Amino acid sequence: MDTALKAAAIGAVTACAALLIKKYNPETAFLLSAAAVACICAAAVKIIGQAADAARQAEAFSGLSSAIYGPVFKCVGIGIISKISADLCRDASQSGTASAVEFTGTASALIVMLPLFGTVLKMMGDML
Amino acid sequence: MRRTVLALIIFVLLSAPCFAVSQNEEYRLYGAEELQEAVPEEARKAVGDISLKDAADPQGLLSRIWSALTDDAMDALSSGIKSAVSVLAIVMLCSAAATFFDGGNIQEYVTLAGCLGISACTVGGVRTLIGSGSAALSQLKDFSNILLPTLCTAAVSGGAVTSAAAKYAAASMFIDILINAADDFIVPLIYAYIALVIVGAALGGRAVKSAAKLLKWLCVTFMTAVTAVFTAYIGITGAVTGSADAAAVKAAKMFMSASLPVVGGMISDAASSVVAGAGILRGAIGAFGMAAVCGICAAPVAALGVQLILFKASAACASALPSGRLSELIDGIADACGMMLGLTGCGAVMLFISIISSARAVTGA
Repeated sequence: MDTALKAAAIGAVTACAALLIKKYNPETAFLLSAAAVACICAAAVKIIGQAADAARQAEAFSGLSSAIYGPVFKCVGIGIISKISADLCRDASQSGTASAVEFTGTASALIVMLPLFGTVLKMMGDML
Repeated sequence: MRRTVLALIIFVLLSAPCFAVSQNEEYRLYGAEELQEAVPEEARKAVGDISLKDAADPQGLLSRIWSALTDDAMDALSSGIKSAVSVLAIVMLCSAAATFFDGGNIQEYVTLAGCLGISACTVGGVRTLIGSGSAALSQLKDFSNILLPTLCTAAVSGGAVTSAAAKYAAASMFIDILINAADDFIVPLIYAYIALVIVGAALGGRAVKSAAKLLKWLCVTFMTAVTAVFTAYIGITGAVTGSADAAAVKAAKMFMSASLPVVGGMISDAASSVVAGAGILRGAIGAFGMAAVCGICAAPVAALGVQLILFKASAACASALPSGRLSELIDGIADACGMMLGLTGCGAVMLFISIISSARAVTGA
């Protein structure tokens, strides 16, 4: 709750400040925005850690190997990082860079998924 | 004096030996020992060592069957909850990510990863459950090969000569059709259905989903048709041949009473007692057979039923989250469990109907 409030406050203040500065100095506005993203992500790390603990508990309870959970977690993580980075690039009016970041994220997600894909394909092959 | 001696000699020569048999001897004559030995190990584990004598205590049999079902359901519940928790964890993770991404390529890949994760979590377990259902059907077939002839013999002894043979032939034929179709047609279709559900959820596309629906419809229609035709056939056969048997038994008793003066009525009464004894034995074989069928089916039916409920509940929870394809996948896997449950249930119900129909054959005794 506290972290969410802090993140919301940082985000709102940064957005207002960036909006005011952007007219006169767009570079500073972008740097301000990037700094705010870094601060909010740092604050989110604690929450993500708690979520990861809960996920580890679920993993231990269900008795599944990390070979199944791992790729899904990695895929979500890659997606979040790619999305934030691409949006930052778009804020800096660099759509080409944003697309490249998204493409790399998508390709990385695909690569991370390949072992899981192979497992499911093997299961389906055995079944049929 | 000569006449008296001659009459005594004729009396001795014409007298035929007549003796009663004990209940154990009667069980042996009808092949009850082979029937008791034919009960599969799984059924013995489920309902314990049952014998034809236990059929006299239906409450005890029912309580054994109930405790076997609840024990198997509790075992299945613990593993099923683990599977459901892992599925829901993946759904929640992917749903949280979906709200963040708000469309785009990366969201598609996260959903794909979720589909693959859920498939990897569930397919192995579902395959084991389908295998256990299929094994139960094979055991039902093997057991029916001993049970139905024994029941038929007991029914024939009770006067149901035509109807017992007709019902035995029909039951054997339909159970053979169902179990051969299950091995060669329905179980592969269920596997193909699971594969199509996974592909449909992972890649989307209406054509794949329509193909999955078609496979489901084929399986359900086939099972319903076989069971309905079997029930109708047994019902009609029982009505027609049962009346013929009752008339034949009645005519035989009347003939005996009328043609043999003095002793005719006694012989007719004795025959009625034998028929009544065969009826008791037939009832005992029927109750024993039903208990054994319950024992064979208890574990797979409990496991498949519990898994079906848990997957349906997980799909309902997932449908409340923004991950439509994942909830469709879980629902599809639950449907596959439901189809196998229906198939196992069809085999058990057909055998139940055969047993009940043979055990309560009307003979006019």
